[in-house]
Amino acid sequence: MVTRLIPVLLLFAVVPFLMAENSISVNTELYNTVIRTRDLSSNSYWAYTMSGKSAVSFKSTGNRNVRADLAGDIIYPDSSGIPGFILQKAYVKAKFPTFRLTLGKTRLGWGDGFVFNSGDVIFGSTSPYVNLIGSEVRTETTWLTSIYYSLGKYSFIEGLIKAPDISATGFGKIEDSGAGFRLYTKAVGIKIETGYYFDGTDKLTYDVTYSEAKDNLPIEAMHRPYISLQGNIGPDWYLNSSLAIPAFNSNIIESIAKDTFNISLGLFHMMEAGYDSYLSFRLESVILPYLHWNENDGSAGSYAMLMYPEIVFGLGQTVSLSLRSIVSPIDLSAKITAGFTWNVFEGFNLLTYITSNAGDGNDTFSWDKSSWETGVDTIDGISVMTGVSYIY
Amino acid sequence: MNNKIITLLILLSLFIPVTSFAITGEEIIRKADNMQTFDTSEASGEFRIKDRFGEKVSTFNSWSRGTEESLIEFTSRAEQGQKILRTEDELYLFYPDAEELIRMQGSMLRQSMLGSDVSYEDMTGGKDRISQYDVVLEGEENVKGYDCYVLMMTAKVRTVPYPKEKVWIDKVTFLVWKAEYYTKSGRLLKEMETLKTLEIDGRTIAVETRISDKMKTDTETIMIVTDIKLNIPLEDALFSLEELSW
Repeated sequence: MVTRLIPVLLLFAVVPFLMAENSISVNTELYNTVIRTRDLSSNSYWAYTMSGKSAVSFKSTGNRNVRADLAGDIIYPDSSGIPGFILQKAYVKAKFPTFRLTLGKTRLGWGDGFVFNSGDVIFGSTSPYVNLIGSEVRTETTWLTSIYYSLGKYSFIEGLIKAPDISATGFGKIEDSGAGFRLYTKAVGIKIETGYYFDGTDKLTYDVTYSEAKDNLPIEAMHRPYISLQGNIGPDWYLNSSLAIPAFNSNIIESIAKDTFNISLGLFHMMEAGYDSYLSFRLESVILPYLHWNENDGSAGSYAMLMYPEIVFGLGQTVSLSLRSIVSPIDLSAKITAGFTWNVFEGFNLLTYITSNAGDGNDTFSWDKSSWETGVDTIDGISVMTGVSYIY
Repeated sequence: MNNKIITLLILLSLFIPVTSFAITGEEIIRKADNMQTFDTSEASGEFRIKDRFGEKVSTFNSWSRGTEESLIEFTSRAEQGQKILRTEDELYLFYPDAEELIRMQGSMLRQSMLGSDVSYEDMTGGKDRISQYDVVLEGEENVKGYDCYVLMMTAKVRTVPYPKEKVWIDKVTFLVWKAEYYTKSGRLLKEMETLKTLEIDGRTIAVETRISDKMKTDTETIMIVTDIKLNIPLEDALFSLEELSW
């Protein structure tokens, strides 16, 4: 309990020193939540709780050539009664005359895509298990060092070294590090981004799901090349592709490369829907063509295709109604989130989200999940959240 | 001597109406655009968005070069660090929390900027209104004590935000004191008026303007420039993805 409190206490202890040349912001979200969940005996019941988080950020403001951010989420409640704390960002950036240096815990946005992004080879953005609440669905950060070098007005090259994760058993091994680069440019009206990432971790993230036997394959490191394109043909479009090539296991290179080859694509269009109102449509999909196209051949997580349709109706400039869904067309299951947001006062929003799963017990999404894991799974079929957010 | 003066005055009086009709609508718009275009500028300001629930304030710093290049960085708490880069044919957004660079094209440009009455589309493209509108000089009116040309502009292309605009332009300073924005059928959508001006480098520029939405009650956006410097040296790199993502 004490160790859980230490980061929070440390954060507040440094506040007086940070205030001089800092901008401090807090984004608090609080929800009344009703969920269908299960008890220790795996019996379903309806639960009611008040939940939420406060995202606290201390951004530097004093020097135009150096920027820093210390940000974390305080999450509550917790079964222990003590709020949890997640360090989201802790970085310093420095702008030198010819290049830019970043050190610390932060995010790099490689590739294009709101939910599915095959170009995001550092963090992985092809998992269907995302929270569809909020304006950002992928917010993972990591400890890294990166260098940014401009190649002109619309072009740059960026390189990074990612530190291996620290586990309970000690520091990460040097061979578990990651390293890569990307080139970003524009030609004939199309954004062209391509890069390579060496992933030294021996655990596989969801975005390289390639077979049911993934946990048993001895992959020590992977080469992760990718390409990302973006343009406009009426609707905006984006197309990304990547694959993972085992670095050392020559006997499985071809099968892994095939199974991890993935393409994500998306379309976005916005149109007027009456005066001062709009309708926006987004359709994304991620395809792993060498995985299973038939429900009976695979299981949740090993299917060849996922889709993300989204419709948003904006009424005036302050109210929006949204319908978002992750659809698994192979096993005909879906996670559907309907949302309502109203920006009433400066920084203050009223929010309501209803999330429901549709599918059978073993599907990617299901109303009654057959393999319920106590402590891991929380929502059994449906949740209703209504609350507020306030940035101050 | 007196005869000479009288003759001169008569001649001048003959020329005055000739002069006022000699200028065309296109020339007025061109002059108005030129008066609001600077080699470079650096400014700070705020949007005050009012509705029946109160007022929302967004503050910003901006830099511009010519008619085509500008960079806006928002400094208010809710949007801090968000940036918009406009170059001759591109509009990019940067969201610092997600470290995300978004290239805006097509319909995305129609999104409202920070919930204001200004869209991203309003910011795009140069100020070459002559190629986009047919301009008719309708007459002259006095607005707030200033003699103005009254012009009706009808869009020649579909890519402009409003099919028709009526503008009142100061005959001396070529400042737009008032503008009305209409649908194609002539329904009034929005009205803009200049509330405060500043004389700088021999030009009169608007530093406080109000845009009110005539289709809604109790809503308006007031844009205030709190500080502005003109024709100062700016680095090329300021209008690049490097600066945008910094």
